Amino acid sequence: MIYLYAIAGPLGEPPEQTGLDGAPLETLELGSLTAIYSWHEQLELRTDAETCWAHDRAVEAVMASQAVLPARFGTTFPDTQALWRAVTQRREELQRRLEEIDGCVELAVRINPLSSTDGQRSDGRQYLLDKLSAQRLREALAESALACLKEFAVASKLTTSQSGDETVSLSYLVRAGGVERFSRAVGRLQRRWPEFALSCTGPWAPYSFADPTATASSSHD
Amino acid sequence: VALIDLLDRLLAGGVVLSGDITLAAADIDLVHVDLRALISSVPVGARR
Repeated sequence: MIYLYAIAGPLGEPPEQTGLDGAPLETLELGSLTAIYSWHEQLELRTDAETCWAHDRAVEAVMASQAVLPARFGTTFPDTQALWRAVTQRREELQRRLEEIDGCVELAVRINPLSSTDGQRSDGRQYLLDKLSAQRLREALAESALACLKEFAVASKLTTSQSGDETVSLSYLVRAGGVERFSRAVGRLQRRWPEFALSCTGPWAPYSFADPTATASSSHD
Repeated sequence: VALIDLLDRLLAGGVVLSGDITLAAADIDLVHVDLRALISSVPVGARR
């Protein structure tokens, strides 16, 4: 079984980095594209921290030298022929997306209200009102944050966060040279919004901007 | 914080090719339940 990490441009030798279960990274040349994968006789995919970081390390090993399109976590193929067919079907759009994200990294911004409404639930009606209010607050926060940080990014999108109801999770595609400037902008936003806790992590590989068919992404070009 | 940010990207982002996504939805749910406690309070300016 093949586990796919990423698609990149011409790569030559695979990076000296191991993938899932310590398997060596291998490459499959597909014209102007390269698929980076590891081969496994058997693979029981776990969603623990080490497995997730192993996927990310493999992607970042490629990203260290060139633009990369990370694959969705858990993407497998029975053999290299199946992988070849899948990439070939979308070669042109993958190539185009690779050029679009070249020189960019992804930054993650997370916004959490500092106080929770959990302790104020007096009855079911109040609970629903609180939930509705929290939803409106999240929407307003996301809109404001997108507007405030937009000028520092190439593109942005609201990320589907699985981490909790009150969290606003945003993804920004930023030029690699503009990371510090973006980080300072987040700091200024934090000072303007003391009632919220803001975090900014990265730089990540452009996971949220990798798929050419993904929607809801806002381009600022 | 970095781990939950990574998970949000790994599980919802990335190029979706026509291979198999081997991860069951239940697995993803379990991971996120485990992580909720970790991010109840997010430190400002946390960087990987």
